[in-house]
Amino acid sequence: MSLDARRRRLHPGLALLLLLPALSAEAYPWMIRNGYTNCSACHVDPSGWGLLTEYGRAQAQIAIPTLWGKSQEDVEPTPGIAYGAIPLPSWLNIGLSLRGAVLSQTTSQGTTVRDILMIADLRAGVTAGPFLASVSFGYVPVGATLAALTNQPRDNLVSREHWLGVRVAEDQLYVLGGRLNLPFGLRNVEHNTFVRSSTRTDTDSSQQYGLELVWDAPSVRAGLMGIAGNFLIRSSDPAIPSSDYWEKGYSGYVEGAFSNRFTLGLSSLATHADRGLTSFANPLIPDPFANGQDVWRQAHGLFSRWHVGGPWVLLAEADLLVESASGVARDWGGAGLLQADVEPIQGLHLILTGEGLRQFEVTSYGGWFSVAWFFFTGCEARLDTIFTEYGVPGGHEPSFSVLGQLHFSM
Amino acid sequence: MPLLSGAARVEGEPSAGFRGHGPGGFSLEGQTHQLRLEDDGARLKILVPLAGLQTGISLRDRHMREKYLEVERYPDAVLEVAWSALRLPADGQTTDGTAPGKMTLHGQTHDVQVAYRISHSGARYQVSGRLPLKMTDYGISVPSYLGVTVKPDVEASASFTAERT
Repeated sequence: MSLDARRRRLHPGLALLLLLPALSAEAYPWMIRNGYTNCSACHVDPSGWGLLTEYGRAQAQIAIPTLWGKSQEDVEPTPGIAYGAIPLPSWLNIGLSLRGAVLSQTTSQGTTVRDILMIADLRAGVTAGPFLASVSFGYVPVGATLAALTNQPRDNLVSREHWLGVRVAEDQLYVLGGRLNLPFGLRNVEHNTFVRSSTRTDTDSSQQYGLELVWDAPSVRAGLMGIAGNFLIRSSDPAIPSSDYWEKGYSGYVEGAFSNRFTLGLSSLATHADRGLTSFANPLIPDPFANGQDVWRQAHGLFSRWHVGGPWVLLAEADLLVESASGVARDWGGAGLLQADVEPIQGLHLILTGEGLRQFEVTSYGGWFSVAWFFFTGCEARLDTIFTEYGVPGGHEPSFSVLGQLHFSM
Repeated sequence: MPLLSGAARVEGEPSAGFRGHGPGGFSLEGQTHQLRLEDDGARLKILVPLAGLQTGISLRDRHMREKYLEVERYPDAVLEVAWSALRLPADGQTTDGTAPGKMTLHGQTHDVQVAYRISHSGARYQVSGRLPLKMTDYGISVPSYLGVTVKPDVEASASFTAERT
């Protein structure tokens, strides 16, 4: 049985559970509140996410957590990691991300509660003059199979990214090669939002191998990646080569910063695979393209980040989805997200999210209310309440989830 | 006739600031809403108290004030422009131009070229302007923090509405 077919056999309720666990590692588009429209000063990946640079580690102490009566001016960032206990040379970046959670989910089939180890990743990277490198290595008991180095039904070792790069032209032009996050849309932390799951551009496990050019200038940033495939996908059916599932194509974005408070971007992705993977954006309906042949997948859209003023940040994304395969009618759909992030006191985020998905001729929509509290440097507690009406033939299937998390990072 | 007399006043909320860049796409904007005008009939002085400049992160603001701008010793940035160098619009009109001026910052004064726009409506004049600065020309150390070094060339800007009485 192929990997994909194995995934297709999952009970819908279990598929939903597998979908929900894991808000991804840290990527915070709301940092535009602090005037940051670009990501490269704080992250080794110039398009943002994950491993922090020396400057980023300082910002994580100054601008992100609750300061408990202190002002930002009183903060003296500790060097290195582990609250200064481990010094690092400026060219070396090391990080650890541990995220555990308890998930309660109620569907028409009942309520389930379980605890989840979402992320246990060690990351290392180099930013030495023009040369860059980044690698992550971790363990997950369940999920993230697309990033699994081992090939077990559960308890896998994962590497979400591993790449080498060089930067030139006053650090404005990057060439990166390896397993990379797909440059597309908002790099938001909630990897299971429809815009991320339907475009398969999340940072949890949807990275692919390829070569990426990144342009990182003050008023415009852009990334264009030639996708060679996700070489970590393995077919368990000897009759189907793993390479049949590898998508080849491109993914890219260009985003203009019209001020340090507002950006607008355009994304585009087109891939081809000999056989199609299953979409988990709506796990309650069969994906007509799963294991289909000669599968073309496209996503094109707009995204925006806007610091409205004071504690308010709005994030928005809307994508057109097009998928076709041999012998399957072309599917036209779309996905959208609108998120308001309010930070009434530093470190405490009240987040309202609305989202929608049209795919495979059914419509799903949902709303999130989330509270994320960065209560100490490197420590976050988060509670998400998620209501989703999944489209199914002839109607909708509701789902209500409460996800509580503790996240430690350094 | 000078745009402003001694009795002229700034209306609404003026703004003044700067935009600088660092490595790659790193950019930095500072802004203050404190600005005052002095007009002796021959020259217009725009004074911006620098202690109120904010960049979005207050630790960075403190470094900027204390380590780089040294605002206790040099509290204001001052731009002086001769009225004769400005092209003033008729009522209901707008003019754009460039004018020579003198910029005093961090205790040092240099000649600058100011790009300006002035809109005239009744007794109100809406003014905006920008000019390039090289901070090292003014004896300001290039800010550098944990691997991020700001380029010495920045753009300073100001906008305000003045009403002549």
